[in-house]
Parts: sequence; structure tokens; C-alpha cells
Amino acid sequence: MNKLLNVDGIGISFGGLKAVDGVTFEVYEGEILGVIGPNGAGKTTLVNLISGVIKPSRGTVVFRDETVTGMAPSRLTERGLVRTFQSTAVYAQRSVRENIVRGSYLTRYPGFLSTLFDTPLARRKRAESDAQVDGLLQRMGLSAVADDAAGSLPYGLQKILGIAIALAARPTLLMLDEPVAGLSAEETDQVRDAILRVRESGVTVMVIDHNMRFIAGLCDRLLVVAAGQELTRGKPDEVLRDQRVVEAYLGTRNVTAGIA
Amino acid sequence: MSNTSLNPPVARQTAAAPRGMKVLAIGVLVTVILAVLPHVADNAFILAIGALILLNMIGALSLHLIIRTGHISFSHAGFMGVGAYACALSVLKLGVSPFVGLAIGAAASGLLALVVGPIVLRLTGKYFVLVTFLLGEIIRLVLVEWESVTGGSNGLSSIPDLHAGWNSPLAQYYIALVAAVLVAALCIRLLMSETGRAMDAVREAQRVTECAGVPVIRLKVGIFVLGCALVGLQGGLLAFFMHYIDPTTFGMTDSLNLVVMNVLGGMYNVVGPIVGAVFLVALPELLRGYVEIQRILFGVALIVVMASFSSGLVGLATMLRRKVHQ
Repeated sequence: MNKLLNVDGIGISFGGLKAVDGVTFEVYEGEILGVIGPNGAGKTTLVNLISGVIKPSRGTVVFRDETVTGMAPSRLTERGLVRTFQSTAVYAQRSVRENIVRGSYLTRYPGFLSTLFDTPLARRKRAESDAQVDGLLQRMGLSAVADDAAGSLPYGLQKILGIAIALAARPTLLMLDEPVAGLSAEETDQVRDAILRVRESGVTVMVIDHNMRFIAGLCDRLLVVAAGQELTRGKPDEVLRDQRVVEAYLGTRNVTAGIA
Repeated sequence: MSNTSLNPPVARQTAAAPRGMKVLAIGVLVTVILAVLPHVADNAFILAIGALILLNMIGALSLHLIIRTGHISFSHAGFMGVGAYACALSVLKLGVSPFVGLAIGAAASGLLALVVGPIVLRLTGKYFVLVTFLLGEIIRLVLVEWESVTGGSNGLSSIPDLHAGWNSPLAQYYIALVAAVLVAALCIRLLMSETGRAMDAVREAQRVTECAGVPVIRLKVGIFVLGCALVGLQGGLLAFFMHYIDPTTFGMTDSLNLVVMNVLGGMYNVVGPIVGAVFLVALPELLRGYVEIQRILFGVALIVVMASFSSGLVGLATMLRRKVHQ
């Protein structure tokens, strides 16, 4: 299988705290990789390090055979590595459609002068982008609420919208940061189905979450992170039976339901 | 676009062509009215006020572009000064033609913005305000202290007209009108384009926008450079109108005025700075006898708008229009 992403010895410290301390793993094309761990394990920091939101103090990130360590998020998105955000990251005041249009920037933007003078190129790209947006609205089940304000949607739909916005950037690898945090069981299933459809459309997915049951039911492989380091990795049923993993969760203040 | 209420949501450019035509029609109409105005009101005072309003519109609109990316600059009058002095100096000391001087003025402001931008634009909200405030003061101090070049507190005088013979209030009115219309056309068109969409996106949710592929810093710097170059142009025109410039024209109060024009008129709608410029320039002239009340009035208006009605006068008008239609 093709190796899409190779993270090698990545790390960052905040003052004295080693938030991420030498994590190494790969993501293969076509898989859904889950990164789990208790709260405070450094999962979101790990995503921030890979996606360029924070510059790592050590380690490398190689995406599709190109070293991209520390590159700005927009440059990674151009290369096909796209992430979503844990806290609801949508344009609350704007319509659902407008939200996805904004995610479609790379398809839509024809250049400063082109868009200023609305050249044929600009119009062509706009049409291409509009078609892409309509397609995403349908596939993600958002057509009915396309003209509603994003902030007025139920929380579960907002999370799905967040994924739709990321998909508009045409990712090769999509990193989802806590996509079901705070969702009801029903909403969690909705998001799970959406992620499966995303994989079906040819996008490789990396899901970061602390909800064991959600991750186990979705992912092909798991990477367990605790205290900034890798604890173990493997197939979901192996990992969830690992005593160290159970202890890592029970040992913290946040106990998640559904531990095997 | 209004950022006060969630409904109705604002859909951008859903019908790009008809809306563009509508904006163009309004723009042409307003321009024609303003062009014909001198024949109706052939009064030197009104023409002078008109020219002043139009010039300030350039400053307000160019600042508006920067504000739309989420940065409220308190150094805009400083950049106006850079443009004014660069223009005047190139005409007086290097002997270039006034039009070339205008270009040099705009370029000088733009260049300073290009140097300073990448640093200050990484600062968020209030820190950006503070630093640009300081920057404005630094510029003013340089203009005062560098006497050998800038003439210090005495400023530069004997600045010629933009063109031989163009020194009447009428001529200045038309120059200001042409400049203001061109700048307004550029700003409105820019904000309606995909660049404008990206600017709003950066302001509303920068992290999400960056992850959608928008090169945030590059965009902010580009807009900052453009905005400062345009206000540099205003500075140059001011020099040719007044034939004299000194540091006091380009200080803290003037930067604040440009910000107030935007805040009062409406920070996130392009009509805001236009309305704000008219309001802020016309009102003092009408209240000429009551200077103290002016200041109090402005202070109160500013507090009211910022505390409760951040969409400014334009937002107020939109709300009233909606209430009327209900």
C-alpha cells in the first residue's frame, strides 16, 4: 500500500511540559487510521504539529514523499493534506452553502486580477466550484439546510458541515480532530456514516478522538497516544484489550464509556 | 454584511451578474449626480467641502479594506503623511511632474507597508491597534525631527498644483471626484470579488480559512500594502490642493478620524466608510460654532456604536429597512 504520510519523531514542548514527545507513525492510502488517547494525551497537539498550526521543535513530517515539516496550513492544504477543527469551526453567520464555497477556495480562486475583472477564467472556475459545492451539499446531506445560517444548525450537522468544508479543498488525506466530541449517540452515527462515505470517495482519513467505541467501530488501525508518547498500536480489538490502554484511560480524570 | 444577527443569513454572490449590474448602475448614477453638482451649487465653500469629503473617502475606503481583513489600523494618517511628503519632496527637490509625484507618494506608502506589514499583521486585534498607534506616532516624529529633509515643524510649502492652472475650487473638486470614484470602484469591485470573500473569511474564522488553502499572511500584507498606497495617494493630492503640508495634518487625531468614519458608518460594509466620511467631514463644518459639542458628540456616538450597534449607520439603515418591509 502507498504510504501517504510519514511522521517521524515529532515533538514540541510548552515550557517544561513535553506535550508531544517523539511520536512516529505512518498513514497508508485508503485506510481510516484512528488516533486515540485520554484527554490531555497530546492528540490535538499532534494534529497541530502535522498540519502546521504549531511548528514542531523536532522530528519530520513527510507527505507524499515531500518533506512538509512546519509548512503553513494553507500550503499543506494545497498539497492535499487537510484538517478539521475540534471546536466548531464554521462561519456561523453565513449560510451553509457559503461555508462550503469558502472551503472551495483552491478550486475557485483564479488569481487577483482575474477575479477583479471577472475574466472568463474566473467565471469558469466559479462554475466548477459551484458544481463542486452542490455535489458536496448532496453527498453530505446538507441540501435541505443549504440556505440556513451555519450557526443555527444542530451541533451534529455543524460537525458534518465542518467536514464538508474540508472536503471542498479536495484532500488526499483528511485529518479529523475530535469529530464527535459533544455529540449525541444518533449524531455520532451520522458523522460515522459521513466519514465512511468520505473514505468510499477515495479520501484517506485519520480520525483523532477519545471516544473509544466510536473509533473502534470506524477505524482499520489504531494508534494509542498517552502523555505525549505512543502507547501502542494495532487493530482495534487487539488494542482495546491491551491492559495498558485500559489503565491509561482509567488512570485519568476523564473516563470514557465503552471500554471493551 | 451585517454581523449582528443570525437570520437571515447572508449569502454572498448568489446572483453575481444582476447584483453587479445593480451596483454599477448605482455607482454611475451617483457619479453623474456628483459631477453635475457644481452647476447646481456653484459655491466655493460647498465645492471645498465636497472636495474634502471626497478626499477623505479615499482614506476611509482604503482603511476599510484593511479592516475587512480583521485589522483596525491606527496608523492610516501616518501613511497618508508618508505619501504626501514623498510626493511633495519628489516634486520640489527632484523636479518630477506632479502626476509622477503622486505615483511616487503612493509607492512610498506602499513600500513602507510592505516592510512593516509582515511583522505587524501577525499581531491580533488589540495588539495590532496598539502597535499601529505607535507606528503612526513614529512616522509623525520622523516627519517632525528629520528637519533637513521634511522641513520639520515648518513643513513643506510652495507645492505646485497637480497641473498648471488647476487651482480653483472647481478644479480641485473634479480632481477629488475622479480620484474618489476610481478608488471607490476599485474597492467595491475588490470586495465583491473572490479576494473580498477570502478577506471576510480570514476575518471571521482565520484558522478555518487558512486550512481551506487561503494564504492568510500574504493576503493580509497585500491588502495592507494596497490600502496604504491608496491613502498615500490621498496624501499627495492633499499636498497639491493645500500647496503646503506639515506633520500636524497626519497625526493621531487624523488616524482616529479615519477609524471613526468606518466604525460609525459600518465596519463591514463598503457603504460604511462612504457614509462615515460624509458624516465626519460635513458635521464639523455644520457645527462650526460649536467645536466643544463636536468632540463630545463624536465620543458619545462612538461609544454608542461600539457598545451596542457595531454595524454602524449602515447597519441601522438595514435594520430600519427590514422593519419597514415586515
